[in-house]
Amino acid sequence: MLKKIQNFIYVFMSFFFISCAPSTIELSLSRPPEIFPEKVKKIAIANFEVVELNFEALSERNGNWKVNQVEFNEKSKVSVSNLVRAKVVNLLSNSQFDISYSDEFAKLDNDEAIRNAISAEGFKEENVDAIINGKIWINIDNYDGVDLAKETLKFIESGEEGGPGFAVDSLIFWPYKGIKGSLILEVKLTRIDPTEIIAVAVDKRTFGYKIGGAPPNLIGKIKNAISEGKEFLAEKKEVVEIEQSDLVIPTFEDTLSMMAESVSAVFSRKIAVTEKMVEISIAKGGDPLGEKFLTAGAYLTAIKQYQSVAENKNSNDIYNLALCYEAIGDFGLANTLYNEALDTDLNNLIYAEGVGRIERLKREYRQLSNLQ
Amino acid sequence: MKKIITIVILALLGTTVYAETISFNRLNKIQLNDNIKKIFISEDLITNNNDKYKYKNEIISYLKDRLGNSGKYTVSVGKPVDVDLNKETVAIISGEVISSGEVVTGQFSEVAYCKGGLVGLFSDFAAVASSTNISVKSMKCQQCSGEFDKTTNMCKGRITIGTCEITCKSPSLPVEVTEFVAGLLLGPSPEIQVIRIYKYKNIALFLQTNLSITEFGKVRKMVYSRTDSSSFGRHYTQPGSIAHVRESSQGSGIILPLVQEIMVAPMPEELAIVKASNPGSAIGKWYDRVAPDADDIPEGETKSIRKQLVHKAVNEFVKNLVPHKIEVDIEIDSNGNEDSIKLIKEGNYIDAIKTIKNVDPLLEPDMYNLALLLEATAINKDNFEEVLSHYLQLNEKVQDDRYIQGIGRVEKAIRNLNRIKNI
Repeated sequence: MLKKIQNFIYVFMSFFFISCAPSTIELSLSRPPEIFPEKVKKIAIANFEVVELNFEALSERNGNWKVNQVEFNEKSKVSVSNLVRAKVVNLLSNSQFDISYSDEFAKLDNDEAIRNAISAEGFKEENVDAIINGKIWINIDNYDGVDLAKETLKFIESGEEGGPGFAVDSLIFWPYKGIKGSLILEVKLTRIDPTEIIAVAVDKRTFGYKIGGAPPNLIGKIKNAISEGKEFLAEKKEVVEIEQSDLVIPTFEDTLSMMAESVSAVFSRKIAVTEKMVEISIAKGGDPLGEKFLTAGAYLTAIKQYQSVAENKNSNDIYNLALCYEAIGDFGLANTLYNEALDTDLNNLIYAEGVGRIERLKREYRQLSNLQ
Repeated sequence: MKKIITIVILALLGTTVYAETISFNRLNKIQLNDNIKKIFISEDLITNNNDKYKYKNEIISYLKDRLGNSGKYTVSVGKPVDVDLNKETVAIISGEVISSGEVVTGQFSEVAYCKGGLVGLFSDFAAVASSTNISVKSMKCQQCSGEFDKTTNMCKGRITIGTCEITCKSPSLPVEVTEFVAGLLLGPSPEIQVIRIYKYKNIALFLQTNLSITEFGKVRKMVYSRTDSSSFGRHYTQPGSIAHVRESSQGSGIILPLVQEIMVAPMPEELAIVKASNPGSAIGKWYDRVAPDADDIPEGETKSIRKQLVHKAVNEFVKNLVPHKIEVDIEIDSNGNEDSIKLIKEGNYIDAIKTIKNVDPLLEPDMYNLALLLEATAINKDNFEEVLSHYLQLNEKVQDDRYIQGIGRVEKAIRNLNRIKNI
């Protein structure tokens, strides 16, 4: 019975994902930095100091846990430092700053070395306005153990609900392997003249991955089915992806790379203009051709189309026209039109979201704050 | 049943789209100084202290080929010799290669769903398609003859034992859905659950490249830096290692022969079943010895996997520096000029354009194919503007989703062009 309900849920979810796909467009929205580092154009990248690097392999057999500490040599520590530092540079490379990634600055090991270098005024590279350096704390555990859990097994002779059958309980060991880790990254931006720390970001990322172990309960199974279902129904990507398996634990370096990428984004958002892809709803029930252009990403052509049917004064067309202007970065016109659409129907959530997006932009961008 | 299969086949045929693979130009996002004509990849400046699987040479070779093939730069491996940096500006690629890998062996316990009859056969196909492990078992099945108590789910009549063959699959969404649908169409079939153990070997590979390109001339300046990583993971199950430790169709455990073969102190059978699934127990260790190891990656495949890892770890860096081509499956209008369609299929776009331009009168199918070819070969903003005008003209004549999609693609390409970061 339980399995039939599960099967029904899987099939229902499959149809649900297909039939309920909302009509949206994906827009790239710029997000302003939290701090505006004035007069900073060129930033040099110094060393990222590895303060702590712990990697342990833990294994359990018959209730006895063994812990093996993995030793890292100096070369490996440098590699870990470079791996994390490169992720920070990667995100800033497309920002408004010129980034200098040279040996001269890479040799500046820590805060003290940077202070000494600034006071000595001895940089070969010219026009460097600020320096970024960082500190890294890493703890990663690889574990190998066994869960002990009871499982109920069913036997149904005919497969029919209520048909002859019975259930047996069995206590079973469920071996598992996994990786758990945390990365704390402190990144600091120091202005050279006048010497001051402009921005500091300290953030922590944790990562965990487990293969094997006791089977999940019903809620866990449904959650797994939802994630599996998404994958199952997802559009095939243009690029052929390299083979991956959910049953393979990522390597130490891979784990580190994923955490570093995530934590670097926090610092990048603090000082640089970043871009974010967001899905925005299209209003249905307006001019069908305009809607097709908008969905296809032909924003300029869609604007012309909506202008040609302006006399209809359809509020959905007005909203979609505003969306086109937002997509091409004309936030002033978008603001006016979103408000115009909302005035016609104050209860329309999609229109209100449009007004809300521009309101938020007005708050975030000082240069946009004079929008009417 | 036949009717259903016929309807499904017809429905699938009805939705088939005949598309051609067209190679489209895509422009670089980072524009180097116009004076730069030579790029040097210095082996000394690409460090590989933690390149455990020695990818450095493959990466250098990939960079040289991809940047060189663009025709935009002369690419050399080595230091810039015979270059007067006071008169000429060149670019140098430096960076770091990090690679690692792990081979992990272990044992899993899992619940498998076993089905007999046609439903089992259908779900086998789904299981194979989703690479789910299958084990076939000829076994004694219990049958309840007489009264069956639906409240307690127990057989109150006589339990008889017969032989049946079942196929057991790991649980997965495709298998579950197929079984559900097949059950609806074909009716019920026996359902048995088992707990089985098996040996696996996991192989994980990781590659990261931190690459920078620096302008060297009167001014020395790093112009672009990028980090990319790629990983590979494969899970091998050794089919011969699968052992059922418990089946719901049997009142007793099925590992009794296994328990009898090893020198362990007598123990209750239920406990023996439990221990068989524990890799740390005496029975579990015995299973370690009898179960074969999973295979490693076949030698011939290693080269292809390394190539894929290098491609993914370096491709974005290259794509941002030089124009590149992407292949897109797109519908061409089969009502257009036959010669031009033949040339398109051969990949000879230049001659196809010439052929279509000589067609008189130029009707919609050829106009669309021409727009498509001009889009595929566009290398600057003027080219894209011309393509856009073609699609707009077409859409004014006849509204068609293909033309609208074309307008969208070209508008997007023009927007991206305006975003190119000019260093």
